[in-house]
Amino acid sequence: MSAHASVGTLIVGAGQAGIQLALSLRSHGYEAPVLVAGEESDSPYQRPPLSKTFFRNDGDGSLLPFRSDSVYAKHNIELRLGERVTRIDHDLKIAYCESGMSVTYEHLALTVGGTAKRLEIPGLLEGHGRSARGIYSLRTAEDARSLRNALTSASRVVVIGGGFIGLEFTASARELGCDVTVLVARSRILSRVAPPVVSQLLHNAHTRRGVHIRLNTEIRRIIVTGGAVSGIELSDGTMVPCDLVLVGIGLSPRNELAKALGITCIDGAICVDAAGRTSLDGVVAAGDCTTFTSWVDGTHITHESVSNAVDQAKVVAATIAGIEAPPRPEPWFWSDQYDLKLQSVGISHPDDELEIDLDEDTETLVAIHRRNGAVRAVTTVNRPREFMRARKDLERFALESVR
Amino acid sequence: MTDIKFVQAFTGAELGQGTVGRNDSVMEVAIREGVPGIFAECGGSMSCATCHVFISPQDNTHFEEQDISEAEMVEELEKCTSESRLSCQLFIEGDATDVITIRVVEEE
Repeated sequence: MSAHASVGTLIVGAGQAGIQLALSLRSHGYEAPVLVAGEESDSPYQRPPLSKTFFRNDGDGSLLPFRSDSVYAKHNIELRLGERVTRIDHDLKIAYCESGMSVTYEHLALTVGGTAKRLEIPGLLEGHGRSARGIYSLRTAEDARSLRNALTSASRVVVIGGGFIGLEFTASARELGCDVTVLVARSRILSRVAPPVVSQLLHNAHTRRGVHIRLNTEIRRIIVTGGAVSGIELSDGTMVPCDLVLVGIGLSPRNELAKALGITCIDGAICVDAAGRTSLDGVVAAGDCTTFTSWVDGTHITHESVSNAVDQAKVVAATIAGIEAPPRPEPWFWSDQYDLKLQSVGISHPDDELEIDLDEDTETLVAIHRRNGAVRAVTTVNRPREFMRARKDLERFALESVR
Repeated sequence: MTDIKFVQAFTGAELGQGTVGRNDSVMEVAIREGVPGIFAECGGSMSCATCHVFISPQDNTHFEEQDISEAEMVEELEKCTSESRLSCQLFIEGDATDVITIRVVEEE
């Protein structure tokens, strides 16, 4: 293990975006050395299964790698796992790592993703020190393994947050036979990421399967007994007993390196242009850590998804390789909860006009989002054919319109 | 355990081989063996259709049958044929004694 590497491109972060970037660089014929430094020790893996199939009893809790290790070697991509980049001197173009390794680079790519947001409530764990056993977040394989272990002896689960990760975990825990209560701060689940009709459909799907959902809920305190969580006290005085808590209240982008470099961030996310460039020359970024400008209305958008990570990484690869990137496809997204599969394509907006085809009995939905008469997004639940068609239609639309 | 051979659907080029066990999907074997052209953007949850393969009707009998959702996804693919399957849904049933040939549709 050398203490110094000299590379063409240093990719910080070995997740979906980082790995895609490395592979795409090679497929563009980029031959300079590529080094991917990832903080996590597991061979780069797919995150989405961690809130879904990972917890199944018939599974073995193994990870799904993006590629086998030999593929990276075959493409001359150097992978350094368990390696954290701590400091970057962009004037000299040197990155310093925790292990003592330093890397000089020509191009720097930040594909650092984010961390699960922590609960910030004054007096949350009053009288019990700063922590309690039984409280988890879910972002890494390490988190998922801890949770999988904890679920073997848990019976009363509380999920804090009404977003996709929380709901997927809710479904997993419920299917394992746990009693599950979801505590949602806002007036509906998925309030930030889906239209009301989707919130309603999924809410009903969960309650129909025995999950308790409390909306407009404010948490006052976490009750700890013998060093482990035993209940959640709500602001209205209600006590929700539990032995396992998952906090799923969103993602905080890992912007430390970017901020230290003075790179422009908005709401904590690294700003990138259509080519994936940040405000600092020679530094690009892709994936969950970024915010980009909508090609529809110029607003700043984050799209925390595999598709965004992959598509942004491909654009960034073209940028670094000096090739013009084709316009990126519309981002798409999916979520699996019980036997319900939500699939959506495009970027929706609260002001969209919705054309809705809903069947509450079969729990299926097609919602077409229009703005200024044009289809901007389609959201489906258990309607895969319409989803696949929408992906094709939106792509055609995008190719025809001026961006 | 059943042996699998991966070839490119249109050029016939050999892409790799592996063995599939009871809880493995063909897609997972492909990823493990580094077979080019099989992506798993949705991690095997039948949501992205980037693991499209062709399989002969004979070989297909060794796998769990295609359900309606898979059919709906696959039918919308440009290169879909009657031999199309999403390899993330190809779970083996029983043991085939012969090598099964999986034809990979997408290029790397």
